[in-house]
Amino acid sequence: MNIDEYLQSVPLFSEMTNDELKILGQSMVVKDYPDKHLFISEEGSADTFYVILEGEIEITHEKDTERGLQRVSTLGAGSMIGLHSLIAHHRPIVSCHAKGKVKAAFLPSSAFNLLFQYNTRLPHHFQMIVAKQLAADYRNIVNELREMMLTDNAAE
Amino acid sequence: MSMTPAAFREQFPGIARHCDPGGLEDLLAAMETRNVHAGDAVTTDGEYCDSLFLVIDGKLVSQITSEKETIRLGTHKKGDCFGEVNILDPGPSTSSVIATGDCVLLVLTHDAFRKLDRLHPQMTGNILRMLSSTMIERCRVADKLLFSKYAYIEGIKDNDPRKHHGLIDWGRDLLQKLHGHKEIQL
Repeated sequence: MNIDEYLQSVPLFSEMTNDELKILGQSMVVKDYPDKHLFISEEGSADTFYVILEGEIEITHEKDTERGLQRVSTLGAGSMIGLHSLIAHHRPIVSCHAKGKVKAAFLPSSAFNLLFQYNTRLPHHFQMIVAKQLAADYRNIVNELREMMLTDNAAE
Repeated sequence: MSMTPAAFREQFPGIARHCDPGGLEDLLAAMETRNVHAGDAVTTDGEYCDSLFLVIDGKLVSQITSEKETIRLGTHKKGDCFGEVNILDPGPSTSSVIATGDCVLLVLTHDAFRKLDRLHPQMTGNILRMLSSTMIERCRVADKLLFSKYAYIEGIKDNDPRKHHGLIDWGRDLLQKLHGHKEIQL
Protein backbone atom coordinates (compact mmCIF):
# COMPACT_ATOMS: atom_id res chain seq x y z
CA MET A 1 0.00 0.00 0.00
CA ASN A 2 1.20 3.49 -0.87
CA ILE A 3 0.96 5.20 2.52
CA ASP A 4 1.51 8.79 1.31
CA GLU A 5 -1.38 8.48 -1.15
CA TYR A 6 -3.52 7.17 1.68
CA LEU A 7 -2.49 10.04 3.99
CA GLN A 8 -3.61 12.53 1.32
CA SER A 9 -7.16 11.32 1.90
CA VAL A 10 -7.01 11.90 5.69
CA PRO A 11 -8.46 15.40 6.38
CA LEU A 12 -6.04 16.12 9.22
CA PHE A 13 -3.11 15.92 6.79
CA SER A 14 -4.70 18.22 4.18
CA GLU A 15 -2.29 21.09 4.90
CA MET A 16 0.75 19.00 4.06
CA THR A 17 2.25 19.11 0.60
CA ASN A 18 2.55 15.94 -1.48
CA ASP A 19 6.33 16.01 -1.03
CA GLU A 20 5.95 16.23 2.74
CA LEU A 21 3.45 13.39 2.77
CA LYS A 22 5.87 11.34 0.70
CA ILE A 23 8.66 11.83 3.26
CA LEU A 24 6.26 11.10 6.10
CA GLY A 25 5.04 8.01 4.28
CA GLN A 26 8.63 6.82 3.83
CA SER A 27 9.21 7.27 7.57
CA MET A 28 6.22 5.09 8.46
CA VAL A 29 6.02 1.32 8.31
CA VAL A 30 2.89 -0.55 7.16
CA LYS A 31 2.17 -3.74 9.05
CA ASP A 32 -0.61 -6.35 9.43
CA TYR A 33 -1.75 -7.08 12.97
CA PRO A 34 -3.75 -10.08 14.22
CA ASP A 35 -7.06 -9.93 16.10
CA LYS A 36 -6.69 -8.65 19.70
CA HIS A 37 -3.22 -7.22 19.07
CA LEU A 38 -2.51 -4.69 21.81
CA PHE A 39 -1.30 -1.43 20.26
CA ILE A 40 -1.39 0.67 23.42
CA SER A 41 -1.75 -0.57 26.99
CA GLU A 42 -2.77 1.26 30.15
CA GLU A 43 -0.19 -0.88 31.91
CA GLY A 44 2.66 0.12 29.61
CA SER A 45 4.10 3.18 27.97
CA ALA A 46 3.23 4.54 24.52
CA ASP A 47 5.91 5.65 22.09
CA THR A 48 4.34 5.01 18.69
CA PHE A 49 1.84 6.82 16.50
CA TYR A 50 -0.45 4.69 14.31
CA VAL A 51 -2.71 5.44 11.35
CA ILE A 52 -5.34 2.74 10.87
CA LEU A 53 -5.50 1.73 7.21
CA GLU A 54 -7.88 -1.25 7.37
CA GLY A 55 -9.95 -2.84 10.13
CA GLU A 56 -11.08 -1.60 13.54
CA ILE A 57 -9.49 -0.78 16.87
CA GLU A 58 -11.32 -0.91 20.17
CA ILE A 59 -10.50 1.66 22.85
CA THR A 60 -11.02 0.53 26.45
CA HIS A 61 -10.34 1.80 29.94
CA GLU A 62 -10.12 -0.31 33.08
CA LYS A 63 -7.64 1.09 35.58
CA ASP A 64 -8.77 2.93 38.75
CA THR A 65 -12.46 2.89 37.98
CA GLU A 66 -15.54 1.85 39.90
CA ARG A 67 -17.01 0.05 36.91
CA GLY A 68 -14.34 -2.30 35.64
CA LEU A 69 -13.63 -2.49 31.93
CA GLN A 70 -15.28 0.29 29.92
CA ARG A 71 -15.49 0.23 26.16
CA VAL A 72 -14.83 3.81 25.18
CA SER A 73 -15.14 3.68 21.41
CA THR A 74 -14.26 1.83 18.22
CA LEU A 75 -12.11 3.47 15.57
CA GLY A 76 -11.96 2.55 11.89
CA ALA A 77 -9.79 3.25 8.85
CA GLY A 78 -8.35 6.76 8.72
CA SER A 79 -8.27 7.07 12.53
CA MET A 80 -5.10 7.78 14.45
CA ILE A 81 -3.93 6.57 17.83
CA GLY A 82 -0.86 7.44 19.89
CA LEU A 83 -0.64 11.12 18.87
CA HIS A 84 0.22 12.14 22.43
CA SER A 85 3.17 9.74 22.47
CA LEU A 86 4.95 11.88 19.86
CA ILE A 87 5.08 14.80 22.27
CA ALA A 88 5.03 13.40 25.79
CA HIS A 89 5.84 9.98 27.16
CA HIS A 90 3.21 9.38 29.80
CA ARG A 91 1.48 6.19 30.79
CA PRO A 92 -1.59 5.92 28.52
CA ILE A 93 -5.06 6.50 29.97
CA VAL A 94 -6.67 3.94 27.61
CA SER A 95 -5.81 0.65 25.95
CA CYS A 96 -6.16 0.10 22.20
CA HIS A 97 -6.41 -3.35 20.66
CA ALA A 98 -7.31 -4.83 17.29
CA LYS A 99 -10.93 -5.89 16.78
CA GLY A 100 -10.29 -8.43 14.07
CA LYS A 101 -7.39 -8.13 11.66
CA VAL A 102 -5.93 -4.66 11.28
CA LYS A 103 -3.54 -3.02 8.82
CA ALA A 104 -1.84 0.07 10.20
CA ALA A 105 1.08 2.38 9.44
CA PHE A 106 3.21 3.30 12.41
CA LEU A 107 5.75 6.00 13.25
CA PRO A 108 7.82 5.55 16.43
CA SER A 109 8.40 8.72 18.47
CA SER A 110 12.15 8.26 17.94
CA ALA A 111 11.59 8.58 14.16
CA PHE A 112 9.42 11.66 14.75
CA ASN A 113 12.20 13.20 16.84
CA LEU A 114 14.72 12.48 14.09
CA LEU A 115 12.46 14.20 11.55
CA PHE A 116 12.15 17.13 13.93
CA GLN A 117 15.92 17.54 14.19
CA TYR A 118 16.35 17.83 10.43
CA ASN A 119 14.96 21.37 10.56
CA THR A 120 12.80 20.95 7.48
CA ARG A 121 9.20 22.08 7.03
CA LEU A 122 7.79 18.60 7.41
CA PRO A 123 8.17 18.08 11.18
CA HIS A 124 6.84 21.57 11.83
CA HIS A 125 3.78 20.95 9.70
CA PHE A 126 3.33 17.61 11.39
CA GLN A 127 3.75 19.26 14.79
CA MET A 128 1.05 21.76 13.82
CA ILE A 129 -1.26 18.90 12.84
CA VAL A 130 -0.68 17.21 16.19
CA ALA A 131 -1.31 20.51 17.99
CA LYS A 132 -4.56 21.08 16.08
CA GLN A 133 -5.82 17.63 16.96
CA LEU A 134 -4.92 18.18 20.61
CA ALA A 135 -6.71 21.52 20.62
CA ALA A 136 -9.80 19.89 19.12
CA ASP A 137 -9.67 17.11 21.75
CA TYR A 138 -9.32 19.73 24.47
CA ARG A 139 -12.30 21.74 23.19
CA ASN A 140 -14.43 18.59 23.09
CA ILE A 141 -13.58 17.67 26.68
CA VAL A 142 -14.22 21.19 27.99
CA ASN A 143 -17.49 21.46 26.09
CA GLU A 144 -18.77 18.11 27.33
CA LEU A 145 -17.83 18.93 30.89
CA ARG A 146 -19.28 22.44 30.86
CA GLU A 147 -22.49 21.14 29.29
CA MET A 148 -22.74 18.61 32.08
CA MET A 149 -21.99 21.19 34.79
CA LEU A 150 -24.27 23.93 33.53
CA THR A 151 -27.13 21.54 32.78
CA ASP A 152 -26.78 19.97 36.20
CA ASN A 153 -26.59 23.35 37.96
CA ALA A 154 -29.65 24.58 36.15
CA ALA A 155 -31.59 21.44 37.05
CA GLU A 156 -30.96 21.75 40.79
CA MET B 1 4.26 50.12 26.52
CA SER B 2 6.83 48.02 24.66
CA MET B 3 8.77 45.20 26.21
CA THR B 4 12.51 44.65 26.04
CA PRO B 5 13.91 41.16 25.41
CA ALA B 6 15.44 41.18 28.91
CA ALA B 7 12.11 42.06 30.52
CA PHE B 8 10.36 39.36 28.46
CA ARG B 9 12.92 36.74 29.54
CA GLU B 10 12.32 37.67 33.15
CA GLN B 11 8.53 37.73 32.96
CA PHE B 12 7.91 34.83 30.56
CA PRO B 13 10.82 32.41 31.06
CA GLY B 14 8.79 29.41 29.88
CA ILE B 15 8.49 30.84 26.37
CA ALA B 16 11.75 32.79 26.35
CA ARG B 17 13.88 29.70 26.96
CA HIS B 18 12.97 28.50 23.46
CA CYS B 19 14.17 31.75 21.84
CA ASP B 20 17.62 32.71 20.64
CA PRO B 21 18.31 36.50 20.66
CA GLY B 22 17.27 37.00 17.02
CA GLY B 23 14.19 34.86 17.45
CA LEU B 24 13.10 36.75 20.55
CA GLU B 25 13.46 40.11 18.77
CA ASP B 26 11.23 38.86 15.97
CA LEU B 27 8.76 37.28 18.40
CA LEU B 28 8.38 40.60 20.22
CA ALA B 29 7.96 42.40 16.90
CA ALA B 30 5.24 39.92 15.91
CA MET B 31 3.24 40.56 19.08
CA GLU B 32 0.84 43.45 19.53
CA THR B 33 0.68 45.29 22.86
CA ARG B 34 -2.93 45.76 23.94
CA ASN B 35 -4.23 47.99 26.71
CA VAL B 36 -7.42 46.64 28.23
CA HIS B 37 -9.73 48.55 30.57
CA ALA B 38 -11.40 47.18 33.67
CA GLY B 39 -14.52 45.22 32.73
CA ASP B 40 -13.46 44.63 29.12
CA ALA B 41 -13.74 41.07 27.80
CA VAL B 42 -10.53 39.88 26.12
CA THR B 43 -12.14 36.62 25.04
CA THR B 44 -15.82 35.71 25.08
CA ASP B 45 -17.04 32.18 25.79
CA GLY B 46 -18.01 30.51 22.50
CA GLU B 47 -16.81 33.35 20.26
CA TYR B 48 -14.02 33.05 17.71
CA CYS B 49 -10.50 33.75 18.91
CA ASP B 50 -7.12 33.08 17.27
CA SER B 51 -4.64 34.50 19.77
CA LEU B 52 -2.38 33.74 22.68
CA PHE B 53 -2.36 36.43 25.38
CA LEU B 54 0.51 37.15 27.75
CA VAL B 55 -0.22 39.29 30.79
CA ILE B 56 2.37 42.05 31.23
CA ASP B 57 0.39 43.83 33.90
CA GLY B 58 -2.99 43.62 35.62
CA LYS B 59 -5.40 40.89 36.54
CA LEU B 60 -8.16 39.09 34.65
CA VAL B 61 -10.84 36.63 35.64
CA SER B 62 -11.76 33.54 33.62
CA GLN B 63 -15.32 32.19 33.64
CA ILE B 64 -17.87 30.16 31.72
CA THR B 65 -21.52 31.09 31.54
CA SER B 66 -24.92 29.83 30.57
CA GLU B 67 -28.25 31.68 30.60
CA LYS B 68 -28.66 30.97 34.32
CA GLU B 69 -25.23 30.28 35.68
CA THR B 70 -21.68 31.63 35.77
CA ILE B 71 -18.86 29.40 36.93
CA ARG B 72 -15.73 31.30 37.85
CA LEU B 73 -12.62 29.35 36.95
CA GLY B 74 -9.78 31.48 38.26
CA THR B 75 -7.58 34.47 37.56
CA HIS B 76 -4.73 35.37 35.22
CA LYS B 77 -2.09 37.74 36.54
CA LYS B 78 1.23 39.29 35.50
CA GLY B 79 3.45 36.62 33.91
CA ASP B 80 0.57 34.26 33.02
CA CYS B 81 -0.62 33.42 29.55
CA PHE B 82 -3.95 32.18 28.18
CA GLY B 83 -5.40 31.28 24.79
CA GLU B 84 -3.10 28.30 24.16
CA VAL B 85 -5.87 26.38 22.42
CA ASN B 86 -6.90 29.30 20.20
CA ILE B 87 -3.44 30.01 18.84
CA LEU B 88 -3.01 26.32 18.01
CA ASP B 89 -6.44 25.96 16.43
CA PRO B 90 -8.40 29.20 15.97
CA GLY B 91 -12.03 28.69 16.91
CA PRO B 92 -14.54 29.24 19.72
CA SER B 93 -13.07 30.28 23.07
CA THR B 94 -13.69 27.82 25.89
CA SER B 95 -14.13 30.61 28.45
CA SER B 96 -14.60 34.36 28.84
CA VAL B 97 -11.62 36.27 30.17
CA ILE B 98 -12.49 39.67 31.64
CA ALA B 99 -10.15 42.34 33.01
CA THR B 100 -10.79 43.11 36.68
CA GLY B 101 -8.65 46.24 36.43
CA ASP B 102 -6.67 48.00 33.70
CA CYS B 103 -4.35 45.50 32.03
CA VAL B 104 -1.54 45.40 29.51
CA LEU B 105 -1.29 42.29 27.34
CA LEU B 106 0.94 40.98 24.60
CA VAL B 107 -1.11 39.38 21.82
CA LEU B 108 0.26 36.80 19.38
CA THR B 109 -2.17 35.78 16.64
CA HIS B 110 -2.19 32.44 14.86
CA ASP B 111 -1.26 34.12 11.55
CA ALA B 112 1.63 36.04 13.14
CA PHE B 113 2.84 32.77 14.68
CA ARG B 114 2.71 31.05 11.28
CA LYS B 115 4.70 33.91 9.69
CA LEU B 116 7.25 33.63 12.50
CA ASP B 117 7.38 29.92 11.78
CA ARG B 118 8.85 30.64 8.35
CA LEU B 119 11.67 32.73 9.88
CA HIS B 120 12.43 30.68 12.99
CA PRO B 121 11.09 27.14 12.54
CA GLN B 122 13.16 25.69 15.37
CA MET B 123 11.93 28.29 17.86
CA THR B 124 8.27 28.09 16.86
CA GLY B 125 8.50 24.29 16.75
CA ASN B 126 9.71 24.26 20.35
CA ILE B 127 7.02 26.71 21.45
CA LEU B 128 4.47 24.54 19.65
CA ARG B 129 5.76 21.51 21.52
CA MET B 130 5.52 23.37 24.82
CA LEU B 131 1.91 24.42 24.12
CA SER B 132 1.07 20.89 22.92
CA SER B 133 2.52 19.42 26.12
CA THR B 134 0.26 21.74 28.12
CA MET B 135 -2.73 20.51 26.11
CA ILE B 136 -1.73 16.88 26.66
CA GLU B 137 -1.40 17.38 30.42
CA ARG B 138 -4.84 18.97 30.58
CA CYS B 139 -6.49 16.38 28.34
CA ARG B 140 -4.91 13.56 30.35
CA VAL B 141 -6.08 14.90 33.67
CA ALA B 142 -9.56 15.40 32.26
CA ASP B 143 -9.72 11.90 30.78
CA LYS B 144 -8.43 10.32 33.96
CA LEU B 145 -10.81 12.20 36.21
CA LEU B 146 -13.76 11.68 33.88
CA PHE B 147 -13.11 7.94 33.92
CA SER B 148 -12.64 7.79 37.68
CA LYS B 149 -15.85 9.74 38.27
CA TYR B 150 -17.89 7.86 35.68
CA ALA B 151 -20.53 7.06 38.30
CA TYR B 152 -21.25 10.76 38.70
CA ILE B 153 -21.74 11.17 34.98
CA GLU B 154 -24.06 8.17 34.94
CA GLY B 155 -25.82 9.74 37.94
CA ILE B 156 -26.73 12.78 35.87
CA LYS B 157 -28.11 10.59 33.11
CA ASP B 158 -30.06 8.51 35.66
CA ASN B 159 -31.04 11.66 37.59
CA ASP B 160 -29.91 9.85 40.74
CA PRO B 161 -29.30 12.53 43.42
CA ARG B 162 -27.07 10.20 45.50
CA LYS B 163 -24.60 10.07 42.65
CA HIS B 164 -24.80 13.84 42.15
CA HIS B 165 -23.18 14.43 45.52
CA GLY B 166 -19.89 16.27 45.06
CA LEU B 167 -20.29 16.59 41.32
CA ILE B 168 -20.42 20.37 41.22
CA ASP B 169 -17.23 20.81 43.23
CA TRP B 170 -15.51 18.07 41.29
CA GLY B 171 -16.60 19.45 37.91
CA ARG B 172 -15.57 22.98 38.84
CA ASP B 173 -12.19 21.70 40.02
CA LEU B 174 -11.69 19.86 36.74
CA LEU B 175 -12.70 22.86 34.62
CA GLN B 176 -10.25 25.00 36.59
CA LYS B 177 -7.50 22.49 35.88
CA LEU B 178 -8.44 22.32 32.22
CA HIS B 179 -8.09 26.09 31.95
CA GLY B 180 -4.73 26.07 33.69
CA HIS B 181 -5.84 27.60 36.99
CA LYS B 182 -4.91 24.65 39.18
CA GLU B 183 -1.81 22.55 39.25
CA ILE B 184 -2.25 19.21 37.52
CA GLN B 185 -1.15 16.14 39.41
CA LEU B 186 -1.45 12.65 38.02
